[in-house]
Amino acid sequence: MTQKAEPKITLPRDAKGKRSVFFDDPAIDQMMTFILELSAEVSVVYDRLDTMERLLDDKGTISRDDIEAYRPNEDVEAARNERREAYLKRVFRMHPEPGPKD
Amino acid sequence: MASQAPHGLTVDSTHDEYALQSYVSALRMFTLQEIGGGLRGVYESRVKPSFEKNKGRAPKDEHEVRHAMMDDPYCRTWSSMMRSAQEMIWDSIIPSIERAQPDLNSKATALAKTPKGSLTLNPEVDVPRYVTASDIHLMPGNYHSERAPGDVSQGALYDRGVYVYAGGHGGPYGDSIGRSLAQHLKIRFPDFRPERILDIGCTVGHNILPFVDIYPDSEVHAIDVSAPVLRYAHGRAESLNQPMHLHQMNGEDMSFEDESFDLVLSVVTFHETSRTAMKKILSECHRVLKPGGLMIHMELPRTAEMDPFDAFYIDWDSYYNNEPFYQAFTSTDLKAAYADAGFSDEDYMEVMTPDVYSVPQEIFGAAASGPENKAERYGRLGESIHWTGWGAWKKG
Ligand SMILES: C[S@@+](CC[C@H](N)C(=O)[O-])C[C@H]1O[C@@H](n2cnc3c(N)ncnc32)[C@H](O)[C@@H]1O
Repeated sequence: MTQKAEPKITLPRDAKGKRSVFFDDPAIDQMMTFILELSAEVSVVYDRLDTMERLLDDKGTISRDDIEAYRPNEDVEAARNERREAYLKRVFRMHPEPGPKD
Repeated sequence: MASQAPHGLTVDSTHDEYALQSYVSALRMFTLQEIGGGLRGVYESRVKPSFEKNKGRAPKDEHEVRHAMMDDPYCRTWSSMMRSAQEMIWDSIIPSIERAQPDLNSKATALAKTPKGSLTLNPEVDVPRYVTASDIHLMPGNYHSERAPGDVSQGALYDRGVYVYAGGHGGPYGDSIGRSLAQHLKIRFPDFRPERILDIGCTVGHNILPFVDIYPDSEVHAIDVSAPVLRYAHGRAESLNQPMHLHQMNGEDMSFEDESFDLVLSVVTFHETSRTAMKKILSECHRVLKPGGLMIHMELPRTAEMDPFDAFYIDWDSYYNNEPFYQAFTSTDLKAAYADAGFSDEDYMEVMTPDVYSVPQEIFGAAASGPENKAERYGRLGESIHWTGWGAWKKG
């Protein structure tokens, strides 16, 4: 390489300031983060699968580059949003709200 | 999530990053609306009755509501989801910016080469402690951090982050508050034709840019204390061919001449500054305004007029989303603060406008010209709401 490489820029991942604790046991706060992150991974995999299926429907055969280059149009994004909402409703099913404590 | 409008400094994401950002946006909206929608019921049916049973009275203010609500498992779950989702917003974007660098900084430098507007940075400007002390709304690095000469990373992070946060409800350019305000002023005060406009705390220019568009004969200036977001704002505005003049300046102590602006505004800046700073900024607004000029600050609703539960809900961010000045701001008596800065009570005015992207033009126009426009619902960016602003005319 003849070109002088510019130094890489790395950005911080954590926000400065105290991290809120919501539960009596902070391990539960940690678990909530894990669960939300996992839910995101599943959704991303689903979109990728959806991309492959749509491309296969259109072209019969696909490459990785086809997948990388694919961006949902408005209709596809709307369908995905609908799927995400149903998924969120299933995964984050709150227990019914009980009445007054006695 | 709808598509964000591209400009010269747009950062590309991979297929999976895009999918992740779309999901995080949906997750935040779901938590806010679906799960958050149950909070009032939890309060009324469970939290308030048990408080009343123990104390023999209802909670008297938002602090008592908060302490009681934060003991409840439903509210704890909602809160922890809000918090994690907010962290995930930034996390879903940061890798794409790292990958775009250092080219992104070079692009910004190139866009600044032959500008129609201008960018004046001043390294002498100290970034105030209320900006450096904690990363506001959990954005790692906040507005001011830079890791290379000419760095624009924090601007790119904010630009994409706010879009994901609002799920695109801020419009393709994230300018819904500024566009609503500009359009509202134009309809409400047809004879008011500002020649020089100033925005305080512009960040990447989201909400001042529509003024370039809607008041095309005006000269638009915008200031911020943070250089990375200003560089980004400059490149973005130039690439969109909507040039403006950006300055690194502290609103508490501006170098503009006395009586040099017709319109001075800010959009959601005050709730991120200390109350002492706000006082100084208000005096500066009065100083730089021409007689007959208008000052207006678009901000969060005032909690004084709310019931304790709504105030708790609005101020939640102050305690759990790194918004340390939120609560102090929402409880400040603005009319009194404006009077202290030299504005007269009779010149005080308020703006209450529906979102320009969310209602038909006739309704928007009727609200702007009508004698009375009341907000039906308060909330955060991304909920379907009215935008609120507090202002004052300077004596002509
Ligand atoms: C929430 S952002 C404002 C968003 C922006 N007005 C918009 O419409 O997108 C707050 C901004 O105010 C800036 N800021 C805070 N204190 C300031 C001060 N005293 N003078 C100028 N800018 C300030 C911060 O650097 C940050 O960019």
